[in-house]
Amino acid sequence: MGNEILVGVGEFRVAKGAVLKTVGLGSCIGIALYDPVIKVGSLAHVMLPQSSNGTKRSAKYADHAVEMMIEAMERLGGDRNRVIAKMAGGAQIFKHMTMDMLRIGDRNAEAIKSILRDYGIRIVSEDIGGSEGRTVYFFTSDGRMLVKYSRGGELWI
Amino acid sequence: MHSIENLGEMELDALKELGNIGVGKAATSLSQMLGKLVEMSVPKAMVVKIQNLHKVIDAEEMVAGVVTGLDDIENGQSGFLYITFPEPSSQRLAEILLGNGSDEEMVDSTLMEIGNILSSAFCDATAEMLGITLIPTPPSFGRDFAIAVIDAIISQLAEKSDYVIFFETKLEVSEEELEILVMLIPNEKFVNYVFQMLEMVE
Repeated sequence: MGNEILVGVGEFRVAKGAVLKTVGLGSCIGIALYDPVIKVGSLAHVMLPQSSNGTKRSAKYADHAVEMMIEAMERLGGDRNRVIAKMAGGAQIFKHMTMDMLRIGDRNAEAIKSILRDYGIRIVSEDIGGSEGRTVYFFTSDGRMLVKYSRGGELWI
Repeated sequence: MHSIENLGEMELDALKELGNIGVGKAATSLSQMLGKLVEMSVPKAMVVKIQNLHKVIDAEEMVAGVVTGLDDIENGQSGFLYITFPEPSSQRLAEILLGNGSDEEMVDSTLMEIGNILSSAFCDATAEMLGITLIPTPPSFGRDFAIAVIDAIISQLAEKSDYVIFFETKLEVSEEELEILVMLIPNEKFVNYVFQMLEMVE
């Protein structure tokens, strides 16, 4: 699939033209940001909705990730007023679960939506929830996002 | 002072020993439960940064995963134990243990029970080596990509800890060798326990 760049758990990458990929999203969420005019895109694999005060800046928190992605895209000539978003993930993987604290998929999704709203970034498409893991490909050449499910099947968003 | 990201060979050996005592005890319990000889060992232990997980495990491999919490009676939650059975291993194990034709529900409960036994055994091992009493919570279970199953747990700990301790584990039963992976996902308290142990080793 062309030039592919892997985004690790809790990381983000920015690219122009390449395919950004992140694997094994369970309750975590893949956030893609895109400037359609200059075709710069960024993908983050975020684990937690919100950083607490004073934590080191890291893309594992959704609020930090969005900020860092926008900054990196602007360095490549992007403009935050043109940026749109796509997101996928936030599944509930456990079939049998004894620890309620592990239900974090929904909370992650809600938090990310409100963060993007604060930045004035529109979510153009999303694929959230369910009970299957996902691998996500984000094509920065045209802004398409491919979601592949762990038990087979795929979806373009 | 130790730092978890660059442990020397001796420290990793001590971790491996912790793993070996844990799985050794689990093998004894499993043998008794099944009336078959089960042998388990940890040939390798390593410490992996969360961002590099996908370099160490095949993130898109389908696994059956069992997770238990490790509770410290004095200080509360200390971490999690995550046991993954790659799809071929989990099927084969169920065939050996249950015979053919068992339904998925039955296989799931068997894997959860193995997870239970393993985590109790690990708690015994830490009690022996570190003098800390840990109690395992009942298991949670899922089938999915290896990382997708545990990301909820790693997320819980991500604020305080960036590392996972891997125990590559071999399980031998009825002359067959199966690969499973046991991961200790420690929170900062558990990391301190491990350092206490490593200091005793030196």
